[in-house]
Amino acid sequence: MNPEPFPHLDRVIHEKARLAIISSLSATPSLTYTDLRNLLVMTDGNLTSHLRILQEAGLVALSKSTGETRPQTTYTLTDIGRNAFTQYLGHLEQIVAQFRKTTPSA
Amino acid sequence: MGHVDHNTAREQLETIRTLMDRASTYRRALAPAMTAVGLIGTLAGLAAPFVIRDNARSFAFYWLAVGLAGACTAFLLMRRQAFAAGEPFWTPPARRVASALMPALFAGTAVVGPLVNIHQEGAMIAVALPPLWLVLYGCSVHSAGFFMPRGMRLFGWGFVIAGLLSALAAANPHQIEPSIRMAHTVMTATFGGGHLAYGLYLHWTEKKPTA
Repeated sequence: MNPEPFPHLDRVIHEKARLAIISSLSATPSLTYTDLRNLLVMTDGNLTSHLRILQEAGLVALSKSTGETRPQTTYTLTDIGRNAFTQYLGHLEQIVAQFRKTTPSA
Repeated sequence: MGHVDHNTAREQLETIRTLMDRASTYRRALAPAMTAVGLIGTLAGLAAPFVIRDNARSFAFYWLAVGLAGACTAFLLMRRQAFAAGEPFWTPPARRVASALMPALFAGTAVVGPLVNIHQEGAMIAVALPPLWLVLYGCSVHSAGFFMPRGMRLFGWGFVIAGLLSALAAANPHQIEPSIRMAHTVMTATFGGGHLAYGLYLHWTEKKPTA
């Protein structure tokens, strides 16, 4: 099998928890911190640290608002994040397609 | 990074798809709205024989009004829930749920006028309306269920099946005398009892919002 596509996988996105965050954000315009925590069943510490990494890489943006009852932190996927995610998906599909091509019975 | 084989890639793609589906569903707690709608339906059904005239027109418009009251109550409860969590109500998942509900609900409402005008006093129309409403409501809930937790689609199927069973019962006048009272009973048991039972089930099983 040609290992060519593998080095292109984005290291920031490829981590399991960060991939879960990016996947969830890609399906909806924005998610609150609570939504993400409930959806992904992650601890506060874990979620916060992964969100920080994604933010520092410019893949995710946060906005803070003061709702009627309490402050709300909302996360969205940036354009860079969306492009990186699309590319990542493309690479995964390429790996699967390459395997199918080399083993037609699969 | 060179360790990603096709199995891992395929699993990653499946996980991504599942997460995307889960993120785009409507996640407000449904138990309060379901219970409230169930209570409205049950109380309205119990009160119906005493408060409205025994004809098809009264039956149809009474239950349309009950349906509207139920829908408004559910809307207000969901809206209050969103505001209490400091979140917007009219989110993309909420819009998807509303647009999935609309066509069959619209059909169920629009069909009333012509049907009732055909035979205003007859019990047959009142007996035919509940099965039709149940099937349409079931289709409506089932469609919305694609953007809601999985149980909603089953709940929709429950209404479709109840509608078909009540149609079979109504089509067999040798066993059950078609009457408006029977139609009220079907509406009370399904729209009232069905929502109430599902609401209570959700109270026990639905994950409590942590927000």
